[in-house]
Amino acid sequence: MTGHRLVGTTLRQRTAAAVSDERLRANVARAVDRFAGHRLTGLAELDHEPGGPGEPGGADGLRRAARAVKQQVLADLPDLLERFADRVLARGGHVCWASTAADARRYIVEVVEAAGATRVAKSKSMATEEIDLNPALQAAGKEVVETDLGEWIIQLAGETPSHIIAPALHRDRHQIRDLFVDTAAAPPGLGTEPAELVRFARGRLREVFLAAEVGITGANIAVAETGSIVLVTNEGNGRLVTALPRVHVAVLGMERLAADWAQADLLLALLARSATGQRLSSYTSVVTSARAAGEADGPDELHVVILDNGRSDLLAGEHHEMLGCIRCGACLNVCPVYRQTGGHAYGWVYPGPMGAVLTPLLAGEEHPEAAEVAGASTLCGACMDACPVQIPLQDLLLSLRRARAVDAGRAERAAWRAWSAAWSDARRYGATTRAATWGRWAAGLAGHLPTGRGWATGRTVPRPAAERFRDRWRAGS
Amino acid sequence: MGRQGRAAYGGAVRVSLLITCVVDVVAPDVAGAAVRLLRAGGCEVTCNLDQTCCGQPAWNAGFAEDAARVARATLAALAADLDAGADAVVVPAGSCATMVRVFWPELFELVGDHDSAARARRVGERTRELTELLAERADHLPPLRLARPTTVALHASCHMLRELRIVDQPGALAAATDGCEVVDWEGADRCCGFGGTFSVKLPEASVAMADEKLRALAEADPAADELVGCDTSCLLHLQARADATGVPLRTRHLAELLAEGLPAGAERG
Amino acid sequence: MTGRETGDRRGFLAPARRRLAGGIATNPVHPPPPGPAPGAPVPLPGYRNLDHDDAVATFAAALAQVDGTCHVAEAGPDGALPGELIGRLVAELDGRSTVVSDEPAARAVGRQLAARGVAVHDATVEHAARAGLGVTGAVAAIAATGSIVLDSRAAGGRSASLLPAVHLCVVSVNSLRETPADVLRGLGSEPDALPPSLVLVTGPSRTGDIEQLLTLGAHGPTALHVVLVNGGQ
Repeated sequence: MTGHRLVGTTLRQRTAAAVSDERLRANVARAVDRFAGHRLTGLAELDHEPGGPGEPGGADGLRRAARAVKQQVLADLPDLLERFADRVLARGGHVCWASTAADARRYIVEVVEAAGATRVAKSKSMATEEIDLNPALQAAGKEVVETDLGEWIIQLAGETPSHIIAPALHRDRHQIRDLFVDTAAAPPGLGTEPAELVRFARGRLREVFLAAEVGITGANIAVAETGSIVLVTNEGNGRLVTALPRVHVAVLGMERLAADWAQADLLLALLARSATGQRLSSYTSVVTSARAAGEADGPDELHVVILDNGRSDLLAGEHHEMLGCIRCGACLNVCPVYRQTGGHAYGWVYPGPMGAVLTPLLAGEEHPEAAEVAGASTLCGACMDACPVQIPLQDLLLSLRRARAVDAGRAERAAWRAWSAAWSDARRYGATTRAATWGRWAAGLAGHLPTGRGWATGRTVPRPAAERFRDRWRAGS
Repeated sequence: MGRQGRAAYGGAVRVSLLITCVVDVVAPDVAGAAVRLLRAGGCEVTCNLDQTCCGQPAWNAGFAEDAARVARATLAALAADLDAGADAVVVPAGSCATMVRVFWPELFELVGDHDSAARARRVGERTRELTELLAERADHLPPLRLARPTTVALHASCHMLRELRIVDQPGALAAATDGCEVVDWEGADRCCGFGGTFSVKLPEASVAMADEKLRALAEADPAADELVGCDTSCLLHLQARADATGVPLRTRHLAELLAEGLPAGAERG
Repeated sequence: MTGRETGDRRGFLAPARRRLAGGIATNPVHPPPPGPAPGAPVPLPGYRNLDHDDAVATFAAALAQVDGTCHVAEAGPDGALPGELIGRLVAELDGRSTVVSDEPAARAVGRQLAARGVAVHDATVEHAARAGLGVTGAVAAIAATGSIVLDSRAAGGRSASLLPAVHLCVVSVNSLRETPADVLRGLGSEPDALPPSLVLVTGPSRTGDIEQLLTLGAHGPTALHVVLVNGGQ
């Protein structure tokens, strides 16, 4: 997989560049505040009787239940996947078991070739970004157009998504207008009013929908009970790419299952509210097969590509719960670090807290640079409070940092060892913290850390007190 | 606090103080204020100087063995005081109280030290963050009154808010202090950007987060005379950024503000 | 006819089975809640905006909140809609054509429009792409969310509710359900009855991708009218 920006830049470089971009910070802050506010309003509307004493009611009770649902799904995942696949096949859909990104790419290119197609329209799918599908299709001579407005914008700009739900939130209306004029043949007189920009995009992309021969989507939830995939969208592009082209390919992360519709209903009750505060998105599409006889439109073929690409490595282990993620973006919207940096600083496909966990886990094997992305957090815990399925993100980040520490540079390990050797004993602690010795000792340790002098970047250095508290205490105060 | 059982501490109480390394070295007045408040609230205070640090800096950075090595010394000191008759451990810092109560058991289990893990659970059950205990002892505290009226903005540090769920006590204690007005401000609950080694590993992002807090604080209406909180690390970080950029800012630990309000003749430390 | 399976199912699932066989690690600091008792139902979300005594009012309010318009009408002979509503639609169409789905309720509206001189076609992609209005029925409506439920088999396709800028949906009040659970949780009881495409439509198409400002009509319809019909079918 391409490392996007992981290769060639450090986390610090990317975050430093991001926070120096005032426009970006303003755009991101405006977006996340709106989403976060709507989320609270949306969740406040949900009601739930606590199951027992000490259990939460309302939305928190439902989040707790959703966490339990995800635990069940993951525990039964292989059987659920078989059940799901069998149902899809029974209704005439095709299934591809793609253990690797290359497996998925190869199959999808073959499907497009077999359909004699050259024009592909895509609805938003982070999984397809993860596996670098677009370049593979383009290399095979296929024309690929992203149809989600935000995804189309970043495709035109040659960028990667900045946010799960709003991929182009780092761009304001002026930047978007200029982009349309420069790269999408918009008339130079195009104004900057959002309605006008959307009207322009609607017209351009309508042509794409009508001409596309293959539609590619992701899948928000796959329901094993009926072999259905659920697409949660607002714009209508998800419906258009699954109504007009002859072929529909859905790329499904293997963990995105629900056993049955009761579970799916609970997750859907939380998903849109957590993402944008909506009760439901404009379109919750349940696709179960290719078109039926008697339908004037709809695909002739449905293909579901079930993708592993490192997910099964997470099952049952320390990071198991990360597979419960429903890609709502709530964690991004409350993260104080993301607020300052936007998504590109994380370097890969998934931004924010969930990206800080998934990037080392999914991209880490191929790119050692991914490990440090788990450091893009102050461990404030706001993400855990927002996650609709209560993923213990903070604990996962700590676990990833422990994994990274094993491979940390010798200097860093030596610095911590010197610190712990001194501070594991009160006398040695005392010797290193006297006002006379402290500055030199601390600076010596800090110098071994890769960015030990980092404190002084824009901050004064606090001085030790003339007398430590323990000295006062000893003196009898 | 539902995570561990807790006894209600009525009558005279003996508490063991965990100074915390930052307070010990850089801000000893915070511990001094804490001791005065505790004594004024009818507590006998002990302080076992075999303690060093709770180990959190290394724990957050992923260096569990190093964190455990350091934490073990402090665990022994606190356990010794509890064994010798102290009723509770008191911590004038939300982050350190979290380390002791929430993370110590996992830390010691991870490095295979099950005895320390069991001990840590027992210590954790009896560990209180300072304002948490003061709020419990509110009936025993004398009325607090500031000499000069002061408006304060409260910084709700992340560990207090989200791990310990000590949300209302700091504000209640401040508001109950005569002459102290607590003002609302946007972003009071947002992380200050310190985050331990985050502050040195991603300093630009850390500073940007501090700047946002300082900007929000500057817009508080009514304006605040000072920024007050329960974690010295957060306050030091914000003060250091304010000083470097010429932003006028006064920061104090809530204990220092409250202790200022103690009547003359109340137990002095 | 069964679909094709590509790739090695057993090989794909083997790593997952292997890892799960060893037991699942539990987070010690923030452990997950205990699983529900076997057979215990998944909790049903409650909706505070739902008025159990007046689902129609709940539906109308919810639809309005997502920028759709609700009309409540008495069923006329042959499923005819009130003339005043038809008149308004004709005026807004301003000469453009209409497509109708296969559903009887949609066809009835089509006849009314045709009687007023509107060009009405079956909903093929070609016609729908040029039409100013698409008329469909729905298999259900959902009060708590203001949603309508479209069935591609009943409608004979998808494009009537998708391509024209205005979508008119006629649905019987008898099909009004209280919550999404009332529609979704029963889907598994008859898996083969699920149509190729079932869509819960909750308001017109929208996007916030430009400065998070809401704009309607991104790619799907810009306007959604739902007529809840009392009596009749």
